[in-house]
Amino acid sequence: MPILRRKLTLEEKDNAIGRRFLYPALFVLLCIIAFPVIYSFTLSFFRWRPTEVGHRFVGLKNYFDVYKDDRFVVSIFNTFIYAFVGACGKIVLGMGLALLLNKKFPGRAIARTLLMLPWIIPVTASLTAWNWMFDGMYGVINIVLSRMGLISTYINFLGEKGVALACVLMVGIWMGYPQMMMMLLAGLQAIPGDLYEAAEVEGAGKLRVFFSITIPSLSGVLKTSIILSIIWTFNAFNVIWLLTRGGSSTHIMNTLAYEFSFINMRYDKGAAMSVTILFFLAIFLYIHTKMQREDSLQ
Amino acid sequence: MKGRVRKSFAISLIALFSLSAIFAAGNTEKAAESKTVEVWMINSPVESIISAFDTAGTDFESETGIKVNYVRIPTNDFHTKLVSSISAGVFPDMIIWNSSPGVEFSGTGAVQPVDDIVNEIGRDQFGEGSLKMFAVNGKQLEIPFMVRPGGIHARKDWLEAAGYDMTPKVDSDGYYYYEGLQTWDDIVAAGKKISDPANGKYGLGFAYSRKAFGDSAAFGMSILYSYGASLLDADGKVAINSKEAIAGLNLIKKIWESGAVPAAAITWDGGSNNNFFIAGDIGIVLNSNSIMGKLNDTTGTKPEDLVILPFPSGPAGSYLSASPESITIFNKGNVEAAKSYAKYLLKAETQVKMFEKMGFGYYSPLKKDVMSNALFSNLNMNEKVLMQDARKAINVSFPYDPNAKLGALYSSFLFDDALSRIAVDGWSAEKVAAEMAAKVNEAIND
Repeated sequence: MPILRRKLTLEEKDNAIGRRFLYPALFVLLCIIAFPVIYSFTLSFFRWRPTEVGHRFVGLKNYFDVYKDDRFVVSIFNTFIYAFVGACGKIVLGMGLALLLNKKFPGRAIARTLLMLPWIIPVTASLTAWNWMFDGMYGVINIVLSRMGLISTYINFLGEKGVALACVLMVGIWMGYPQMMMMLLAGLQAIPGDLYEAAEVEGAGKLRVFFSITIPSLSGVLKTSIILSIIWTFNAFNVIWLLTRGGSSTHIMNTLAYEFSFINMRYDKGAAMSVTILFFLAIFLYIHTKMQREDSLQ
Repeated sequence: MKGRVRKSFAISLIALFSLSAIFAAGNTEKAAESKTVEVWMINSPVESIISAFDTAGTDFESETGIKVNYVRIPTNDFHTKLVSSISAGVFPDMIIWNSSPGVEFSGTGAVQPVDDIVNEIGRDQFGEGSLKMFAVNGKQLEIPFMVRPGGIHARKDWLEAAGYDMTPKVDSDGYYYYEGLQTWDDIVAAGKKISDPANGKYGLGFAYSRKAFGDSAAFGMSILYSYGASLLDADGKVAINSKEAIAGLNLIKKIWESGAVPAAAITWDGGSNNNFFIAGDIGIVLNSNSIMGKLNDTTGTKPEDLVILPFPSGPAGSYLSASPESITIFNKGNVEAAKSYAKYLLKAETQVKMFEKMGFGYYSPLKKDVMSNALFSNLNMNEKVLMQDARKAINVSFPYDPNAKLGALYSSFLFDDALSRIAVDGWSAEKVAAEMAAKVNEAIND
């Protein structure tokens, strides 16, 4: 007896056609995202070096080698400091400036352009400038501090442990705040003016308005911004590599993975480090997805 | 269901055909380019050098019909680009570089042995030491090409003011020297004498930084080897924690603590020491000879202020961490054309023509028939010193046969990090030596 096929509705037919249009994009995404991840994961279980021919399965050895390296613990600590303090710094600064730009004042357009500069200037150009500004012999920061009488001997900003991490963190915040500022500014502009007018009629103070209207209205944007900022900062590389090359105890997990792979020429250890980074990022991604789902349910 | 499977199969086939078409197009392009040699080299800061190489390439093309395509890469990116490129299976036809890529990648089987070229030119044209530097398991993997001489660049006027007699003298072996500036201890003493930190003038400009791309490594390794240290001993066992190595590390620590080196040297990059020397803030630096061509009447240090000191010695001799610029050919591409260009570049008349264009200093000759050319009979004292110091060049495997693992270790900040440990962490020489030994042990035994 022949099987009777149910006739597809017009909508189902459209969906089926639509899905096929997605195949090429999915194929490209698989190639550029899934393949490198799977490849790195595989690589982390093999002895795999660019100076040797052939690869040999070594199990978890690469992971043990990475975890017993003195720099690993330092890099985890620095990554969390860099990601969380960096994200907070960017959000606080971004929020302050977004609030400022949300007000009408003469020259607002120019101010907005100027405040976007750290994001617009090519990274290598701005980091070269920071490198010179932090210089321990002729850096402008040392000169200014010295002329103000705040220091008697020049500070080796990028050479002293702790100070170097603070400096790269500061530069990271400086480079990342404009993005936060723009996201929060967009959020601020979407808050209905009626709410502020009602609060004014009720006699609410500025702080009360900020905490009872602005922050709750921005909660969705804020949550996304914080998580995204942590993920982006977690993936940071160029600030630290170009300013300190991981010296003075400033390695974060990404720079260490790079050093394993391309400086020490141990792709296997670099892959093990990358998989470890992926594990942490997956946690943040899970939190982000969960928060988004909760928001959409609300 | 059948229809869906058929469609999926058709889509997969189309995708495969498209990919094949793309790769096939690439191969056709490669085949069409078989008359091109791709040469990777450092992006030289000196215009006349670029021009000399370009002219050699053009002349070669007009003689043979083979086009030379130079890929010029910034010094700082060269190693990373090469590692990632080789890992991806993309090989240049030829590399002209001074970091011994042929030895480093000898384990990949992708390096073309070049004994035939060396024998054809004549082994006696090269110093046996320079050939040995590039031979692994009896195979010649690189051909010494020219030397990028490095040396101790110093302020003649500062040294004279400090009471040094800057008249060059010649010892019984025919080597030039300056009285009181022959050993590393002499250099430290001179550095202290000419230092005036209160006025922003420092005697010694040695980088203690992992950002210095070879400057720290060259400085650290030169001292250690001049003190008799080596990474391995004759039996292939780790030897960098020897008493000779500890003595060398103690000198490096003494230099750091002398106050003659600016504290900022722990964050210097590859250009810092040259720039500060040229600006007139540093008295003595160890650098390749890119400095000479940059001095002029507007720079803090004038051309006449520059003196190149014969490379200082330690208790075990005088060794300069430097590899000659060599030619490496890979066996994955246009091997015959690359060999042909290598032979052309090594011809005496080609090299003399190149030196006429680029002058002496940044490069110096290495082949005997080029060195004996009349062009090099009229060198000034600084140039003569550079030429004599080129003979002191050693690589990281010295005094034993080249070792690819040690070559890779040199590029892994082994010496740079040792210097940082002394300057940033304040470690003792013994502790630094122990860490270096652990790294060497891991590299050779893992």
